[in-house]
Amino acid sequence: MFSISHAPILMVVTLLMTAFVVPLVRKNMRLAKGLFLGAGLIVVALAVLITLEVLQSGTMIYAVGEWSAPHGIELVVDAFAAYASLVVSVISFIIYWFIVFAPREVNYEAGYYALILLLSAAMHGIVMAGDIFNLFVFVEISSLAAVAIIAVKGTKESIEASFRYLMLSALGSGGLLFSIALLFMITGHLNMGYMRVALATTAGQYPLNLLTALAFMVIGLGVKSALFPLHIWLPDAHANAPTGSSALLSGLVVKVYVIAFMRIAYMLLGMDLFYILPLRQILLVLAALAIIAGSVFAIVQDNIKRLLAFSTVAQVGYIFLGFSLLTARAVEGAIWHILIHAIMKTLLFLAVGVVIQQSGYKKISQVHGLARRMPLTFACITLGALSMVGIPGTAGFISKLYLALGALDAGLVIFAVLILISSLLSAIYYFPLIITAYFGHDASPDVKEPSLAVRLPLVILSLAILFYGLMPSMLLPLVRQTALLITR
Amino acid sequence: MHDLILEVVNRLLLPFIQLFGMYILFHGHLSPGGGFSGGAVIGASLILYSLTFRFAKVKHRMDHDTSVFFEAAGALIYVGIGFVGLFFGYNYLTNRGVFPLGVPGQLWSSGMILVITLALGAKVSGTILSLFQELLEGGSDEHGTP
Amino acid sequence: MALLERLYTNIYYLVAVVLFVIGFHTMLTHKNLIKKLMALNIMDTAIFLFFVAIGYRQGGQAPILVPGVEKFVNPIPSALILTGIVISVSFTAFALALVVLLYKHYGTLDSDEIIAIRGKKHV
Repeated sequence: MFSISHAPILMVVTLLMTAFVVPLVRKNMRLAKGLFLGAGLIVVALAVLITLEVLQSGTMIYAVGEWSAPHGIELVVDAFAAYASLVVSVISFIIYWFIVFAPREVNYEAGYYALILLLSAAMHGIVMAGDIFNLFVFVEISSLAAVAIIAVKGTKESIEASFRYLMLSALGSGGLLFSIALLFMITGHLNMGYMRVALATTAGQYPLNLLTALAFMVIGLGVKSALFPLHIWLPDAHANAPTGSSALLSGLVVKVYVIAFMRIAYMLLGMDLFYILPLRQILLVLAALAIIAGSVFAIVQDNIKRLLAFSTVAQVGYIFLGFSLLTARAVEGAIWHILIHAIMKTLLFLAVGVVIQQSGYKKISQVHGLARRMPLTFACITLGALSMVGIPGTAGFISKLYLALGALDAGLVIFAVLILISSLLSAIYYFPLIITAYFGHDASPDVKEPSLAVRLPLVILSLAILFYGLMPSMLLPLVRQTALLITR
Repeated sequence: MHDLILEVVNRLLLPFIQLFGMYILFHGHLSPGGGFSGGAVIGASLILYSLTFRFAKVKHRMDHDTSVFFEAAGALIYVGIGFVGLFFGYNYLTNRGVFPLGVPGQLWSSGMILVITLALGAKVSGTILSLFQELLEGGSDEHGTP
Repeated sequence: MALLERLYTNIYYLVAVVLFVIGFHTMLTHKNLIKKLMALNIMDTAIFLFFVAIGYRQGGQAPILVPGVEKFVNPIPSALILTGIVISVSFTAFALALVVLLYKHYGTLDSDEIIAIRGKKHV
């Protein structure tokens, strides 16, 4: 009855059920918090089980309702889906822990938990979907929930930021739905495997249709994942959200749309089509622009959270760069970067959130000397910043190394140089924060460290950065298998 | 406000509107309609009721807790019905080997779909009413939560 | 003319694309927030029209099993559009709630003025 094969749908269903139960028990906050954390823990366990199963027996295909492929909806859990589920579930659980134990920043907490659970359910659905319309529905659920967890803060700036995010995200959804319509028109199926088989024959007959569909899909998913010219909503949205929301958004949500794009690329289009169309070159240029623009804009920021948000724009550029280079090591670097950037950015956002909650200071110019009052927090921020720059020994170095080596493998030396230049730019915008915090004069005597339960996720994430920096071999087979799916 | 025509017409019309909504719900598996449209019609009838009669008088009958309960109950029934398929050894949300399917074209047929349609109708009407109530009260603490 | 005949057979797709562009353009350029929302709805409706027009077959009836009818239109797009309409309604409802809050905080429904007010505050 409860065999491991049901685990994919059980992940989504557990999160959905908890999301519906939490508003019912909103009078009893302890029960709500317990359910919230319990659901996160169950999903982590299921993700680990799925990963072990996929490593052992290959791709799991789950037909919902016993209706299989061209008529029914399938969940296709291959190595990429298992890896992404693992990343999403573990990092989400750490963020849930922080949200439960940190001082509250929103008024209606039970609703906030329900929204975050819905967002997590949708993210798991996106990475496992095998049917393109199912993917679209999960993308919509996650977009709405992502906007809602920004707006729930209630301040003027957060409402305006979330409205702009909603409008642009709706444009992206419109584009994505239009591309799905065009693809349905030329293939007649909605299952990604069947669409790929059909495209092999009809792509030559309807080239204009396919090109338009791809253009709208890049724009649609590009707006949501903040690819360079379409990233306008991101700094305001991530900077004006509650702390847990910023960490969730920057660390996971943005990446999940890149994962959706990658899955559509290798499952629906097939990588041969990727080589024929000029999509690779366009994505390479946009990724390079994203890296440079994100870093340059981050240098001039004073508000710490806006700086981290612009840094996210640059890091998404890295993932697109790795994916578009299409050599084995570049793709592995991109997939590593999904995990490692999630760890680093979550650590940075949570630690900066702790600083803002404890001291009320939001700008770099205000935190001078604060490191003496909050040594553990600022040690974590320093480690996270060093990792984002790519200092050897930290996890960020591993992914940048793979990306640079992949660029050299492809013969495009300019991108390896670009990665080095962007590391230098990262140092330029991260080090003022650290230097001001450690070496400024101390002017705020009554700031202290947060409680132990709040410091725990920061410590765990820092240890993860060191662990992956020094011994990255634990997830290596999974990452290799994932990259093989893409590069073939 | 006390508009006599509105009150009288509403007292006459509302039962029919709700009956029509339930017709759409119950025939969801036979004709166009189903959970969303049926739930929307019933929700609209509840909004019409709240708008015509003074809201304070209406509030004790359809307060916030009731609509939240309907939303959550509808959704939980939908998600929970899927588990019945798991208990019988098939996949999630299975209809064919698990529920009595009956003759296609009759009212009591298609097993699981009827139950899901009714649950969806409850959820959608609860959501519409809850959204309306929040917007009416100034909507200061929640936005579009399910 | 062959062009007019091609336009005539694809009239639904053409109208859908025109509506889509109208909605897209209005959303990006007009300043009033309510207009943006209405343009969003127009854009979504255009895509639904496109989808439903894909499923049409000449001479087909509505896809309900009635004895005596042989040719049906494709029911899959209609099912997808039901879901899409619900998504569109949810977006609109949420955006309207946000607009109510925006009006309460900023006092205006003009997005340029809202940006100006935020810019002054940040200085």
